[in-house]
Amino acid sequence: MVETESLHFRFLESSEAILEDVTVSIRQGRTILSGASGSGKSTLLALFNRLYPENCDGILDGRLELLGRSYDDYAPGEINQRVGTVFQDPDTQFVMERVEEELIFTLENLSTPVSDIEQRVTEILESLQLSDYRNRKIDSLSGGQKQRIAVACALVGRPEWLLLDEPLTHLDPVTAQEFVKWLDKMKDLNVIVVEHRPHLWGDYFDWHIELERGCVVRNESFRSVEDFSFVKSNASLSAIQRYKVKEVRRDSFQLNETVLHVRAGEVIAILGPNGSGKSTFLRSLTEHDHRVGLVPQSPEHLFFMNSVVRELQFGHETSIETVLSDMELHNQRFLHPLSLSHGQKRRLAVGIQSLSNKQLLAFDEPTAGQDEASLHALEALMKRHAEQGQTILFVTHDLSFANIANTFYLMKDGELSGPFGDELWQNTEMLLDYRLKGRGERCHSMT
Amino acid sequence: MSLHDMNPTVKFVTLTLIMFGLALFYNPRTPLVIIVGTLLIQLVATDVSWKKWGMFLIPFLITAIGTFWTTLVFGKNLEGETWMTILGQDITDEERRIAVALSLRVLAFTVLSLLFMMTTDSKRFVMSLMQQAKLSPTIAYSALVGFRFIPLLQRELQQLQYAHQLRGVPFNTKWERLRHVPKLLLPLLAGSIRRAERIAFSMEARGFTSGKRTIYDKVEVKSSDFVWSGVLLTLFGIAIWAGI
Repeated sequence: MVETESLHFRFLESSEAILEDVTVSIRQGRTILSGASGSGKSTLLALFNRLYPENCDGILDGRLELLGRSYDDYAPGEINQRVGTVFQDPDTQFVMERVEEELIFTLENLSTPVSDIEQRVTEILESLQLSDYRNRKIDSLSGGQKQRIAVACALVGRPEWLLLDEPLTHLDPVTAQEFVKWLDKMKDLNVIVVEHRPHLWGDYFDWHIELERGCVVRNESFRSVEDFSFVKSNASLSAIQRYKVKEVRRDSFQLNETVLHVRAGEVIAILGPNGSGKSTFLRSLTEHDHRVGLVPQSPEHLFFMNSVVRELQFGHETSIETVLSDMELHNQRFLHPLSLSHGQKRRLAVGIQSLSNKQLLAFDEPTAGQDEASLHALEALMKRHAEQGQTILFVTHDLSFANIANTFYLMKDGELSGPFGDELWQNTEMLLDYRLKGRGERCHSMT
Repeated sequence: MSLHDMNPTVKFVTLTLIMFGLALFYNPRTPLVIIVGTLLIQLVATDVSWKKWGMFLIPFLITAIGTFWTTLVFGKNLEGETWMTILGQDITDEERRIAVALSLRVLAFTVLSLLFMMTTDSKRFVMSLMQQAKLSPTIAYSALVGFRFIPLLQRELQQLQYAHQLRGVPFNTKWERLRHVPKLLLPLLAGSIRRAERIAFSMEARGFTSGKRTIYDKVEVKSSDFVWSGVLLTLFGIAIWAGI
């Protein structure tokens, strides 16, 4: 489908190449394109459906053939009739209000004759077992359901290829597995998936291409990959502290009141499926207690000053120099906080909390969308603060990353249970019950 | 035959014409007839929730009363017989007549706008503008995406406010909230631009271009639309006649 030869790509405003001398040939079947953030994998995918270089100031050199023709041979929109794409974020993929309207919108774009539209919609929904969703409002669907609808929208135009750009990022592990299983049922589908955590896909793929800093470092048959591994924190535990989490009621949802007994130096993971109330729990914990600092899922939500230094200096007189060097931000001190990389933003957020002497640092979904290097940086950051005697608490879907914790809590329907130690991983009933493990799947291996 | 089914573009053009026309008449009877007539039509030919309608009306009712009061007290002094005395000021009959006319005009505009708003589905309106008024699909679908983004924007604003509150930004009084607004705008804007770019990519990947497309959901212009248009314009005619 795709043939490239010595492909080079860079953005006009920077001298750094995003892709360097990429020569690959992608054949029919299922291909994974893996690599760390910034390795160029998403750029390469955007070249495959011609979002790039059309929509960016980019310079492309080398040969790029899509479906047997050179990429610049296609009229705007033409390739999109033959290639369907699903993106990472379920919330920014839809134009219309209802599932049916969204499918019709896609078919109208492709100039499908009006008389065929009704039947095409019915067909695609039936073949993907999504007929029940036909009249549902898209906003009322869960992330996993939205991603399936996005696949339906990509396939309704009968493309020859399906591209998926990190489609599992916002899904919890069981939902992600169900999604992969569901995709696996479609036998004659040619897919290219961009993914930085190949293990989530089991043995779904035929071919594996890996990029590192814009260069191809792997181009071979796919073999199942082990997940990244993380090591339990061994910070010494001391004084017990008590935190009260107040009850929250909202429409049909209720978060029950709980009292947490935690120790300084303890690392705590809170696990549970999407929508179980984990974020509400964090909010209730942080709202009423000044000892708790919060690092939101988007750390930039905390920032409102116009430089790193001013951000750190806000609201107190303490010297910020130690924190600046601890967080390795001295070279960025005069930059605008919103212009930092994700890792730097997270360090800045943690730095802000350290300056206000928080005893408990709470992280909301810090692992979502992070690659291996970034996860290990997060691991090191959390462990260092635990060793300094702070308590670390984080909410996550990522069961491998959760390994760094000493203590686990589970959340379901607004009810927190725990604490659990490592014995949790032997308790199959409980893991199934909290959707940490899918039915009929091998037990999650823990180190 | 209900007003809900009327072609949105035809309805929009008709009501806009009436509103422009209304601005030319300076007597209290013309807007009064429009108000009464519109309410009758709304009663007979729509199933608008009057409770919701009433809620929307409240701010405009206050505006109308305000208009009445300010025109009476602060308006130009006109000669004539004294109607009554307020705060030591003599109000003439002529002054009262103008105050009533202006405030009724505000109400007539409101009632007409609400009639349109409450009997027209926003999606159908955009679709109709695209099909009848040759609005470009790029603008039409951007508008539809815009509608969907409003709740997302609200959610993000709440998250931002909450995060800033945690950092010790005071949000207790109205003034404190207001003062912090500029600091919320930049992150909100950055987030919106990111979202807009993603949705634009996603639309393009689904084959959306400014060029050719088929139209499945046809919003048609029917003869009944012109009947309705005629009814509304006749009402306007009666209103003009009543004012002479």
